[in-house]
Amino acid sequence: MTRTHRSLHRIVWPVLAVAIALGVALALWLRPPPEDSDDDARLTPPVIALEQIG
Amino acid sequence: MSVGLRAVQWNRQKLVYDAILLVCTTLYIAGYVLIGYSTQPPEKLPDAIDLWLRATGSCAFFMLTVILCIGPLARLDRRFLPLLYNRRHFGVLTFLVALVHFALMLDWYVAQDALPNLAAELTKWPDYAKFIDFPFKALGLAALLILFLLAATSHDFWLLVLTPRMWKFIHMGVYVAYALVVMHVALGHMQDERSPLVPLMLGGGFGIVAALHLIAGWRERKLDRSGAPADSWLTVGPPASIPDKTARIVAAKGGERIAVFRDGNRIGAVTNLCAHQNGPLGEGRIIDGCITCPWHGYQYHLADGCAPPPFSEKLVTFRLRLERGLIEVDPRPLPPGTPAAIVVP
Repeated sequence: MTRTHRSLHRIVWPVLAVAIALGVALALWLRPPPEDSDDDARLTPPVIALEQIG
Repeated sequence: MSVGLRAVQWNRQKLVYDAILLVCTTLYIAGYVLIGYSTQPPEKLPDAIDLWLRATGSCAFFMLTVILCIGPLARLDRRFLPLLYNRRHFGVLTFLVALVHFALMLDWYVAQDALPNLAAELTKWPDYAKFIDFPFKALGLAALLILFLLAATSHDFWLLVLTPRMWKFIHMGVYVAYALVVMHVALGHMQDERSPLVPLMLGGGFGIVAALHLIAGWRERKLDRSGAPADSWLTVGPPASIPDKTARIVAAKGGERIAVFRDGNRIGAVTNLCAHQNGPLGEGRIIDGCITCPWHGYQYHLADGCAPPPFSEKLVTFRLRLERGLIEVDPRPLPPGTPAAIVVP
C-alpha cells in the first residue's frame, strides 16, 4: 500500500466507525415499539410506589 | 503473474479457495432456510420469499464483513495471508449473493402484484429527509451498485488500464458499500425484527471490522512517522540483522517504504510496492531466487527488480553501500529495473 493509501485509511476508518456506530445506535434507540405489544400498557405511565415518593 | 490476460488464471490454490467459498455460502443459505422452514414454516409464497431474502441478505453481510477483515488481519498476522490471495473471487461471489437478494426482493413484490409500490417507496422524496422512515431499500440499492462496479473492475485488465493506485482507490469504495449495507439493515430489518440477534450481528460485525482497521492503521502509523530525511542515506543495520531470504523495511521521512532483502551474501533494495496491486513486497520472501509478493505471488529478481521472463514488470531499485559494517540505502529511487544489489563479505 502506498503512503497516501495508508493515510487515507487512517482518516476514513475513525470517521466511518463513529458515523456508523452513531447511526446504528440511533436506529436502535428510535425504532418504534413492537406492533403486537399491549398499546394501553405502553401509554400508561409507570406506577410510582408510595415509598419512593416519601 | 501475467504475461497475457485471461479470464481467470486457475491454479490449485484458487480452485480450493473457490470450492471452500461456494460450499460455505451454500451451507449457510441452505441451513438458514431449513431452520426457518422447521421452526416457522412459511404459510404463503411471500413468506417463503421473505425467508430466502433474509438468508441471502445476512449471508452477503457476513461475507462482506469477512472480506473487510482479511486486509487488516493479514497485516497483523502473516497466517491470514492465504485468505488475501483470492479475495477478488470472494468479492465477486458476495456481489452475486447480494444480486440474488435484490432479485428476491423484486420477486416478493411481484408475488403480491405490488411492484408499483416499490417504485412509490423509492420515489417518496419527503421520506429521504427522515431518519427512521428513510427508504432503506435505496441504501441497499446504492451498495449493490458499488459492489457491481467493484466486481466488474476486479479483473487484472482494469488494473492495467486504471493503474494500481487508481484501482485501489476505486476499490476502497467497498467501505462505503459496507456502511450503506449496515444502515440498510439498521433502518430496515432491525426496525421490524425485535430479536436482539440483528443488533448483535450488526454491531458485532461492524465493531470487529472497524477495530481491526483501526489497530492495523495505528500500528502502521509508527513506521510512517519514523525515518531519516529524504536526502540522506538510511541505516538498515548489519547484514546479519536482515534474516536470510526476507527483508527489513525502512523509509525516509515522507517517502515510500523500501524493502531491503538479503539472499545469502547478496543484498538488494527495491520499493515495497508490488507492481501488481501495490502489495507489501517487504513482507514477502525470496523464493526460487526471486523476491515474491505475499499477496499474489508476483516475482522479481533481487539484482535489478525485473520480473523473470516472459514477464515484463519492473520495480524501482535503490543504491546500497556497506559503511562501518552497516548496510545503508540511498532513499532516492533509481529508474525501474536498474541493477543495484551488492555482495557483502
